[in-house]
Amino acid sequence: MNKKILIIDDDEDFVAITKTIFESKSFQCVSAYSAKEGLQKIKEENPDLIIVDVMMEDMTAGFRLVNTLRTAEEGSEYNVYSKIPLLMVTVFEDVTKIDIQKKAGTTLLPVDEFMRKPVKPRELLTKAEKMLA
Amino acid sequence: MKKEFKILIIDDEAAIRDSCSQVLSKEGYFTETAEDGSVGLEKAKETKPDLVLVDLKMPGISGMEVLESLKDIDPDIVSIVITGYATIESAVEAMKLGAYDYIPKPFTPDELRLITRRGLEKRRLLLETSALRQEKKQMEENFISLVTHELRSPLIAVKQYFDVILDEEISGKLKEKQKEMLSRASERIDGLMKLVNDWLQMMGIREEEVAKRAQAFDLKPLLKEAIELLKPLADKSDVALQLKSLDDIPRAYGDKITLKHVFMNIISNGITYNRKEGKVTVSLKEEGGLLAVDIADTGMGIPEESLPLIFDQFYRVRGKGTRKLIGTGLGLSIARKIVEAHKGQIKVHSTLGKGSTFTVLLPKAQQSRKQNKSAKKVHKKGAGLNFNPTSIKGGQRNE
Repeated sequence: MNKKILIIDDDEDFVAITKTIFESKSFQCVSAYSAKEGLQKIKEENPDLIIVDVMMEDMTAGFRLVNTLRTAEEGSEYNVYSKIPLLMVTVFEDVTKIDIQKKAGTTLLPVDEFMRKPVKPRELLTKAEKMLA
Repeated sequence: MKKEFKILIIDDEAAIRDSCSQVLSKEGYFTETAEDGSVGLEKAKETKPDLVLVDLKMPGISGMEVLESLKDIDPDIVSIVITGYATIESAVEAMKLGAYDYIPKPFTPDELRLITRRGLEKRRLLLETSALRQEKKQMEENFISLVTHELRSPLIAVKQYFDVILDEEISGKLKEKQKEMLSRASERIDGLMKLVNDWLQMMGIREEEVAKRAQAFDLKPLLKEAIELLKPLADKSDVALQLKSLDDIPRAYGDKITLKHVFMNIISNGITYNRKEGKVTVSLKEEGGLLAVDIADTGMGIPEESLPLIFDQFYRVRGKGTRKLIGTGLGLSIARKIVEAHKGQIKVHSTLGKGSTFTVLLPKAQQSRKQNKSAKKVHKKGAGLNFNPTSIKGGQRNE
């Protein structure tokens, strides 16, 4: 069974490009265009990897999504999904001057990996494959 | 809706307090009274009055001191001095401390009503001005982040498409000619992204921001780091990098992040516009009470007629050697803007065919803190940032 990747980004082009990249390597891709839809899709699709943007319906929607997932306690509806690998991809740093790279992986920003847009297709593939291994 | 103005009356004489309060309440103002300076200041903190009537001669804290403290509570507060002795000297002194007007005792209700009305009109204007100022600042900030996102998002999307199309393993084989044209288009997008980034950075450099992040620090490790980061570029261009510095150089005072950007920009220019097997020498020293960083290259040099223009936005030296190099024409103007936000100075010397030396002058740690204070005061009076390079005299200047 091919691994399933959920791409959550309000930029339709980014979703389309990312899909093309992963489908070329026969990954299965599903998408969501907001954090809200993303949370819904996580429950419906139970993906193996989540790629998520920061600024969607508001400036920090992506931050809230990863926190909701990672801090989901036993009994919460997201608890079973709380260990899915998370890759954050964003231009957020340019807008806010906040150094996300440094915060990625800490309790403040509990994601496994972080990449700046524009991402290099090959780097994205390498990183995702490593995370799925 | 008409704003209900609040008036505070501070006077040790009960008769004055009560009569003022009575007259002004009838005018529809909200009034409060205090029998001495310290009670008055307490009440001012609590109720945030629009206008304060202060008696100059009171037991305890003097009216003068009250005036000064009121300004700390609200710089836009309008104060009117009541003076029993009606001496011009004390009234003048009160005005110097920021009182809006004065009213000599004894005064008639009409005189009080008139002076209060005028004072409140002044207050209304002050509030409007400060609201407008706030709004303008907010708009500027919003504009920058809006532009950042709106301008960069489509560029990034285009760039991503190019990257994927050009990756033949993902998108399939391209014809040689197609590949060439798409690569060129992709490079142009890179250039445009850099331009947008540089431009946004330029708009983001503000003296207040720099001052907020400023600290005392050693320049030498910062220069070392900049050189280290540029080593790969230097190796690729076959240019040697060198750092010279004495050991006991005083600390600089400034914002490390933006200053690192300045040095990296000038050093990378030194590498890019150099000859093969050339070198870039960075030296740190003291010069006329300032810290001086020289960045000397052995490159093509800058034509004399271009020298006064190289710090201008979008200016690029045109010539055989520069045609193929990609640049936005903003690097040096950003560098200058940063250095000047530090009350420093940036200079250049160049000999065609031999090389150029850029000198960055920065204030030393102790000295510059004092300067920042005086700079703040002038700023309030409306002195803006000065970007004219010839008028900046580095740390000596009391701007």
